[in-house]
Amino acid sequence: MLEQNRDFKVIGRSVPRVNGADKVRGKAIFTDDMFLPGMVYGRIKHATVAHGKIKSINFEKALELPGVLAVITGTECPKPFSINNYKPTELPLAVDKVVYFGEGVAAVAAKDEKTAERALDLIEVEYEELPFFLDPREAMGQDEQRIHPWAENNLNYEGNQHFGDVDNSLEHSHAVVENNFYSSYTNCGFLEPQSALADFNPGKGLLTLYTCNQLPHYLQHTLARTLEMPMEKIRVVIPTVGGAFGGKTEATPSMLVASLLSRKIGRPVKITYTRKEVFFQNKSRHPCHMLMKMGFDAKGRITAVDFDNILDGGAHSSWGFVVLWFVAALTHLPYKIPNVRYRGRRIYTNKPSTGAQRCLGGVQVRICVESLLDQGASALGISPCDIRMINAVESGYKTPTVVEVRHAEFKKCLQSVTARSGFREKYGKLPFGRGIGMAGGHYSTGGAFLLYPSYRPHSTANIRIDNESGVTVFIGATNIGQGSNTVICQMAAEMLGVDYRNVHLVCQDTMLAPMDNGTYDSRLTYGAGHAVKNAALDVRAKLFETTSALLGVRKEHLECGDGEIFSVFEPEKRVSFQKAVYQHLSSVGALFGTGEYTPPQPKGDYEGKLIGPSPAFGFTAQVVEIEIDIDTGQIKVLGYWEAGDCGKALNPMAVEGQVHGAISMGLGAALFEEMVMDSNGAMLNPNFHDYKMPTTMDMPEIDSEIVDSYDPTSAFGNKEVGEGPVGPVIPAFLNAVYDAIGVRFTEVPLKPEKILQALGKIKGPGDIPLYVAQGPARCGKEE
Amino acid sequence: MGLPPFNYMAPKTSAELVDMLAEYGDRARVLAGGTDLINWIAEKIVTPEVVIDLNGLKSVQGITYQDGKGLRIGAAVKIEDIERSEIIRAKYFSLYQAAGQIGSPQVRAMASIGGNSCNASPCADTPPPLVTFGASVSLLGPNGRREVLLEDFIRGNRSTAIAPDEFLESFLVPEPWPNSTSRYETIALRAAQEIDVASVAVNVAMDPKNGCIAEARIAMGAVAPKPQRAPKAEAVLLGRQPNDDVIEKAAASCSTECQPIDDLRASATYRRHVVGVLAARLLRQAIAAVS
Amino acid sequence: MKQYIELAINGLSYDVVISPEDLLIDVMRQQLGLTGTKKGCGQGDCGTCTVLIDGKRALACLTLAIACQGRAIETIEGLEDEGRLDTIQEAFVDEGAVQCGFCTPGMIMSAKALLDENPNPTRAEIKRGLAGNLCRCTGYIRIFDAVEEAARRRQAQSGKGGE
Repeated sequence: MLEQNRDFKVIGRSVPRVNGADKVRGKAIFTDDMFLPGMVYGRIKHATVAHGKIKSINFEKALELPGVLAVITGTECPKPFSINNYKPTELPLAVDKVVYFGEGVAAVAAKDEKTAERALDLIEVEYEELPFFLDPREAMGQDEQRIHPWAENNLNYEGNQHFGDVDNSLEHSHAVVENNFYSSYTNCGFLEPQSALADFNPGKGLLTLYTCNQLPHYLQHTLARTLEMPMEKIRVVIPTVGGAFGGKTEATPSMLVASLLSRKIGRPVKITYTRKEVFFQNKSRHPCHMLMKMGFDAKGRITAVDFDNILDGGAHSSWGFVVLWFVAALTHLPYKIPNVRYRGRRIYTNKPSTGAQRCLGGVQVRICVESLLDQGASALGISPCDIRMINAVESGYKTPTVVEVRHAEFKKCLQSVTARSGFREKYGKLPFGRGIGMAGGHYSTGGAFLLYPSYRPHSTANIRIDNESGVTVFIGATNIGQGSNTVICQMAAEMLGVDYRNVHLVCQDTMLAPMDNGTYDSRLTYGAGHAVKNAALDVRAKLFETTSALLGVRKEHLECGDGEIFSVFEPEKRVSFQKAVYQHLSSVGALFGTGEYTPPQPKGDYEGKLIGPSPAFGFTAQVVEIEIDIDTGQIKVLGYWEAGDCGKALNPMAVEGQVHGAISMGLGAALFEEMVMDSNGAMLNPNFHDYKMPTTMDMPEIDSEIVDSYDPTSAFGNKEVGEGPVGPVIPAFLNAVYDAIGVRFTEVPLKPEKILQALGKIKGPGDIPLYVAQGPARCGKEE
Repeated sequence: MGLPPFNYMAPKTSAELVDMLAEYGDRARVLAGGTDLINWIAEKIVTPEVVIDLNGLKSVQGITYQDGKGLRIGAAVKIEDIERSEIIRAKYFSLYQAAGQIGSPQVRAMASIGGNSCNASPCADTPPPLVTFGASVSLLGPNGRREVLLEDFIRGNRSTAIAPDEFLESFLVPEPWPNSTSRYETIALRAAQEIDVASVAVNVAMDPKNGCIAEARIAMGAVAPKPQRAPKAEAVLLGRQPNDDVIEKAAASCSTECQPIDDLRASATYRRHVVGVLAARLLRQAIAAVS
Repeated sequence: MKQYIELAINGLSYDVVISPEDLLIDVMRQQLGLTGTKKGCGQGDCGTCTVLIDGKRALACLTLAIACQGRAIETIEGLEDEGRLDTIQEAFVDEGAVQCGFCTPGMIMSAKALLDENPNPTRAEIKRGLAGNLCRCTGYIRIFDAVEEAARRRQAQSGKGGE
């Protein structure tokens, strides 16, 4: 019924968020805002060595402190967990040894936070320190010092892929460029520290966990496995989430510890991390040590990419191989590359573990590809915008990984930013110290598989309609601030012709709402969209059956809009939605609809095939213009342009907000952000004054555009937009710095003193800065 | 995260405060804005038994200027009030600039100028300009008041000449030299909420008869345990025509006269380099403004 | 030593029992049900705990509750008028300045302090006025738009002789 060019009523409009009023009033309830009767507070004691055997834990004095209700150590629950339960290493509390500075070793439940903290001081832990590794390249050569006993050479996972014939292709390439690149150790930086409120009801044997988590379905699985409880006795409820960005995908030890304590004492227990503990938990982007080689033919077409990637996994398995394969998969787009070889190794180190961060895997590979594209362009005498147009994918492209890009408007994005920024007029022509840089990017719109072997639907929506409650959509979807609640209400409202503000949403509750695969990999609007649309079509069909009889009209002629149901051919035949519903309830009975979504099955068969295939891809192109103060090395952003293909923007204001936020995260990584460890393996900056995220005064104005696009495979034409725009930011800056001062950086953050070192104005460590590209491209070999 | 326990007192007069300090000495800490102190207590850098809130005292408030005599600034005056003071902007411009550099609007509303000196962080913004004005602190104790040159009062990282039974009551900033102006600038990574990597304050007077530099004082921040004067640089400038050669020489001298360290925020090498860059820029700005 | 004090918040007087070392943020959130003010870092770096005390900006995570006696505290809960949103609150919703909402209360309180002092700020003054409030979701741009819109609406309202 809904065609591509239909005049949508609420879809595509920049309507205000459904929860906006609550949030501006301070009434939106985040987990730490919750207080249950009888609730007590938990706190966790953290390891003060980077790697060490736990010789003893003495907590008698803590137990004796008045107001303390329980103290537990790792032996309470020595069951390791991870998001995908593949080689899990993380425990609720460490057992036998700790593997990073800040790991939890004991926990306390007490009548208030103050008492809990004082109790922590009374717990005595003795460690036997072990040698530790902070660099994966060191850790991988040391088999005698294993961080995890089964992990030879500290290898978590190795994956290899080879499509086509890379060596032959490179040998016959007209130009070949290569470099070592390093992506930094950044943190998701959500403002709401993780909080877990566990409420074990001993009478029912039911555990309810209120917590800020992106994937309640998998959290429920992790709780069941780790606490050895049946899943139907566990309920996960997600209150308002204060930002997540991938860092709240996994269970935190605090969630398990709060559950254990609650179960032990039969009272609700709340554990809220301090900001320092948030940094200790980390679970953000994988720093990658990458070597990439890229070949071009004489016309500038990419011939091959050879990619070696060492991922720094930190101390635990976390997302593990998923990230490794994501980096591999994201190499294949948004440019056509016929031959690709990838070697990925995820290595353990004694640092807060890495996991998932917005544009997972994409940020790392974009640094390499977008830099090498520019280098190739230089070597071949082609402009950076042209080399990208030459290689950009179009709708219908099939990657060597047998992934079909069913819809793409990437070229429109490139053309748009090139024109608006004046790139051609500026590149190579600005005065020394000023530069302009371009980069492209993309991201998947959900994966083809769940995190465990199963072919069940990825999203299910149920819609209940009656006069007593109006329209209620039940869907597991979790809103983390990106606006999924609003967009789901818009979709249901569009389909049913009601006001989006009157749609009730029961979501992010594993007991009340049907399973949803979760908020990650930018899948939600697309996946939920299909489910909601299908559920709406289902419930409409039932309602129209009755309404057609009521109006004396063929049911195929019926449509909803503005709170009414009417015939499109005889518009005078209409009835209010309320009345139609009443009629249905009276004559047929309860009105329900259900719909689901399962992504298409990918066709490829190769190592790592589970990761990468996606039903749709979003695209983005960005340009940054900078001015470098060549005496102080400081970088000032003069302009920032973006163009994105997100299919149809269901809520353009929300889309723009996502783009701005994504760029601000990328800018922070490009210019300021990195977590730094000291010589004892302790983090030097687990706080917001020395882990420097952009402030209002650091953000440039952004000239962004949503290009005209509509993905026909999508329920409403939409594709991802939340993650892709992070990817191009760092390489746009790297390319702009090259244009400004003729130095190609291969790592971030672009701190002023690195700029001065590269300019030779001050001496850096060592003779040649490690973060600067070595050598010219090989060029000119005949095919 | 809660703070360890302490007692709280809020004296209403200076005499009461002095009595309390006499009793508790270094078991007490004086509270003005709290933006440093509360963090220090939380991190157990200090563990006072008693926190004494001096915001109720009249003598620590107010900015008063007397023509010819100079400025008196109460120690509890908030940084945002320093920034908004017309007289400070008119006559002590670098101090106005320094106040504006501090942290964020919230921190400027809470933090006090007294705390900025007493807490003696090497990166504090208001001490370098005050040092270039020859400012003194007025300390009140059981034996009455004594004045100490700010340059001598701040001894090093978190260390001042204050006695346990004294408190900092006010700053006394002399009348600026005739035909003079001042400038202050910082280097940091982000544009707000930053702890400086390096900063420079200059105070320059020109002789209108011969166009030479009549007076010059330079103080650098975040490149030494305390605000760092640059006497050799000053000597290069005094009595000279302010041409490029003279300014570059003075700036180069600033680079050698500081003692920066390598830390998380920047290397010593970088800090040395940028104080030279800042000194040259600020000297040029100040000289141009006066001439 | 526990003490009984009175705290005046949003025009209401609250009786609380506190210890001298208790921070205003914790007393408000845990004892008084005023959870609108958030605790993002506890160290004064993020601005989510921004409140107004006697009309001046303050970070509740660095303020002792005991030091607030006799002072007028305003939090986000006090902005609305019998459930009707304040102009700044409305502008934030209308201009898409709210995503996850965690920075929002502190951001709005900072915006209020700014507009109360400077009813017609330039964009640069807005950026500076909000520099103590971090946001990780929005990239700030729509927040600046919202404050500009709020300033316009406030001017329009006062132009009509006040509503």
